[in-house]
Amino acid sequence: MKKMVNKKADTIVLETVIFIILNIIFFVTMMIFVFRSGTSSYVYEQTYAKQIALIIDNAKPDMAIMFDISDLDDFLEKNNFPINEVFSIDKQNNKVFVKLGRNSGYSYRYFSDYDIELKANSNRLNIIVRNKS
Amino acid sequence: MNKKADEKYLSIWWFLALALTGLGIVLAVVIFNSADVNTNNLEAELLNDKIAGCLTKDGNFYEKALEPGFDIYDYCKLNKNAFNLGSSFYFNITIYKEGVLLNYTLGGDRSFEADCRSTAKISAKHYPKCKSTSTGITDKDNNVYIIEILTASNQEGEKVAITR
Repeated sequence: MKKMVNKKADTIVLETVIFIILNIIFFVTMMIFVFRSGTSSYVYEQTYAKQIALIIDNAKPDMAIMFDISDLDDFLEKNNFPINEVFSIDKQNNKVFVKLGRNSGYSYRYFSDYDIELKANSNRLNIIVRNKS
Repeated sequence: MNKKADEKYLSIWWFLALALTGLGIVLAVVIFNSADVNTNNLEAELLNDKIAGCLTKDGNFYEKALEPGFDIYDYCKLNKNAFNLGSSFYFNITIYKEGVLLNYTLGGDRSFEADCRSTAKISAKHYPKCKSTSTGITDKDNNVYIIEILTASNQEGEKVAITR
């Protein structure tokens, strides 16, 4: 009789332990997925490209605009990505190109006909606007 | 004895609840990451302000804009390639003096004009965002000009793959 009772208790404990472990596995998996998705570069690329294009279209010749990019510091440090490769201008097609990944980036067009120069350092992007010669 | 059989059936519902919870979390994250920050209305406004600003000189209407051969792209520093057929931008400038049409200039995707009329009444997701202004301005001789400017932007940007 005692042996039967112990066997039933063992089964209950085992079931409970398995239940808890499966729950932990599920929630840890969800946390990893959410955390990795939250650091996705696509949203940053899109936001910065559009902001820079708007700044260029709103600017006048011989203006120099300092744009705060300190939000990118953690991202670049974690991914070991050089700051001078992030921002570029496609002068032929008048597009801003922002690259935060090794294999892809995001481009956005501006409609103004200026000569644009971008200079990035750790927490600031200098946008220099000049007339085309 | 039935209680033991009930526990076996309940575990299926538990897996189903977990699956639904997981699916909800994944969907929420995917929707968040696919969100688009649309700046087309700002672009239309900037384009409108830029054109309006460059047709004014020292607070008066820039009359040379009415001369034949006046290049609005060169004078207003607009990139001509950005306003080719099939572009994401559009502008339409109409200039009146005492009710008489003097000049009509347009550039970009002309289908945006009809789209702007539609979106004036309803909101539509993939239609261009438009800005329409009508301004009265005088020249040095106090003649009044009415400048109507319609601008539109439907740019979506693009994700670019880098191939080495």
